[in-house]
Amino acid sequence: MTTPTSTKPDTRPAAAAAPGRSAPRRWAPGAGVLVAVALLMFVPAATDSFYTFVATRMLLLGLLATAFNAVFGFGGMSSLGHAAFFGIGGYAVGIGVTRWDWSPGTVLAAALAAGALAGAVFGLACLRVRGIYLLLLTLALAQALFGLAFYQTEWTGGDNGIPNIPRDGLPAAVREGDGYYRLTLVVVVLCVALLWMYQRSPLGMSVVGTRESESRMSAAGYRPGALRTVAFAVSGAFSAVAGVLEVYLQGSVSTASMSWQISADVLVYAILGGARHFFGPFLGAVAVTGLEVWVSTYTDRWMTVLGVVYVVTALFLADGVLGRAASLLRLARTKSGAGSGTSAEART
Amino acid sequence: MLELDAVHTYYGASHILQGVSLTVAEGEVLGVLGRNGMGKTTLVHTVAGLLRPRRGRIRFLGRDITGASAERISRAGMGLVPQGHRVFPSLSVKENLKVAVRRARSGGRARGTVADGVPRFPVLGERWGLPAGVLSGGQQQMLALGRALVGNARLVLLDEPTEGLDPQTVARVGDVVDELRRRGTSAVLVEQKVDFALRRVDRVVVIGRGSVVHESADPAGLRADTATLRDLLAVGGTVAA
Repeated sequence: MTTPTSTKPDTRPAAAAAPGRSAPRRWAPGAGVLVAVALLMFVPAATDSFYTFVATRMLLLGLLATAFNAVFGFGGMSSLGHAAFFGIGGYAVGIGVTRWDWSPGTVLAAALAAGALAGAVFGLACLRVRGIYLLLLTLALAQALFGLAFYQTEWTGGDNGIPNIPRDGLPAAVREGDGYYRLTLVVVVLCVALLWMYQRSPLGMSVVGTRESESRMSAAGYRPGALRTVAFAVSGAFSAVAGVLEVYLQGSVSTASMSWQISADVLVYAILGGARHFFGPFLGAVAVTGLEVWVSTYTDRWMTVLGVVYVVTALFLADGVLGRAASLLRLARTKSGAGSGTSAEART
Repeated sequence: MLELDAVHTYYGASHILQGVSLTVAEGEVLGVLGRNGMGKTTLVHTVAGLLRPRRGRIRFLGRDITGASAERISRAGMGLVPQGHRVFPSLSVKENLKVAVRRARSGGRARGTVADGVPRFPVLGERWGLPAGVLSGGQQQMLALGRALVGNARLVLLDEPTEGLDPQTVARVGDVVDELRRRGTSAVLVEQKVDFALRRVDRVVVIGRGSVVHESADPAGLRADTATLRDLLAVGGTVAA
């Protein structure tokens, strides 16, 4: 038996020393994402203004779903209150631009700060509850903010909201249709990349550990409550950015941005796409938004069709579309003798 | 290093620990034996801060840690290897070790590194990027022990580390206990495998119905004393390895 003091053992992990994946393969996912983003830049050239609008919404809802998943999939905390953060971002645009003529940069900073603050408050308020009670408490908190927006008519316009929000502060090249789509694409890619880095950071890793076992994390010296609060704050900040993009796109904000239905939608995106996978919720948001548009062109009963899709997903794709795809891929790799995947694949 | 003075712990109305008093000296490995349901794991959880004692005092490195949170106790330099190969299943092997290193304060010792967990268990290096949940039970236990090693704690609580393991892996666990001793790390080894424990500990206490019913500074002597072992632990004849 070799002791660390008697000899100097090779502490380099075998998998790291001989990873089994060649360097080009390791870079392949990153290169694939870059190519996809480059191709997405040309969506407006390939479609009309309506589909460019739809694609813009897909992107921002994808960001909302990815931010939501920092709490739901990776943090293991069910939330029905994310519309609050989305709405906060929206009202940061509405109130900031119409009252104080804020620039987009100021709006974005304010939305990030307000979203993070609201997220931290949600996280602190929810420290002692789990499961269905967490779902109910987040819903209640979001409804409280909805009520605040509803009754503070002087600031928010109440149920009518704030219409005709100008995009004057945005550079002319990204103010309308195609340009705004590209701006949204850049912001969303940047935010998703930041969320990816957060998820891969020691902090994100610790949040996953808290999801798996709070007591084990405590015994390892961590404060699960603080980690849960941070997860909510990060999620709230990026959800608010999605709200900013939505309101600049729509040109108005109302209490509808804070409706519980948005919270329910984003939950569906995550479950349908695969909450245990980083890109699952984004995929879910794109798929559901696309389905809504596509099915509704053929039938007025598109909600029924979507309902059937949800039921089928719940029954046959327990880990979402991406989860199913990943397990099939792993199965194929195992059969071909390529070995198992990495934890990154298992979690993202 | 660790002192428990008349500690009482309850699960709801159930009075589990009924005045446990014991000490662990610097660099000492204390064995804790006892039949199932006598309160051994409750004792470990109480010391680690996962359960709050209702009465009594616990001191660690001269400080009163009675009722302190698990994270505070951990940062004071106490490590825990929980019962049942407890790892973080969706984190990779490397990430499991990183989590253990990151918050370790080791009670004034230098922090360990992730690689410290590897030489003892080469299999961890081979499974470096895999989610811990796909490892076998034995490999998960090696990872749990690796986490204890990289934390470089002053005192490690080992709660039935050989439970459900094959003889080869049990021998590995024994190596780890021996290594902890060589490092001068104190340990509390809670075990059902009596012979395994008695071969490695400096002192032994037997827990029966929530309190210490026997204490011996001569584990080898106790190992040979089959009559006493039979009385205390219902272990008959030659003690099983």
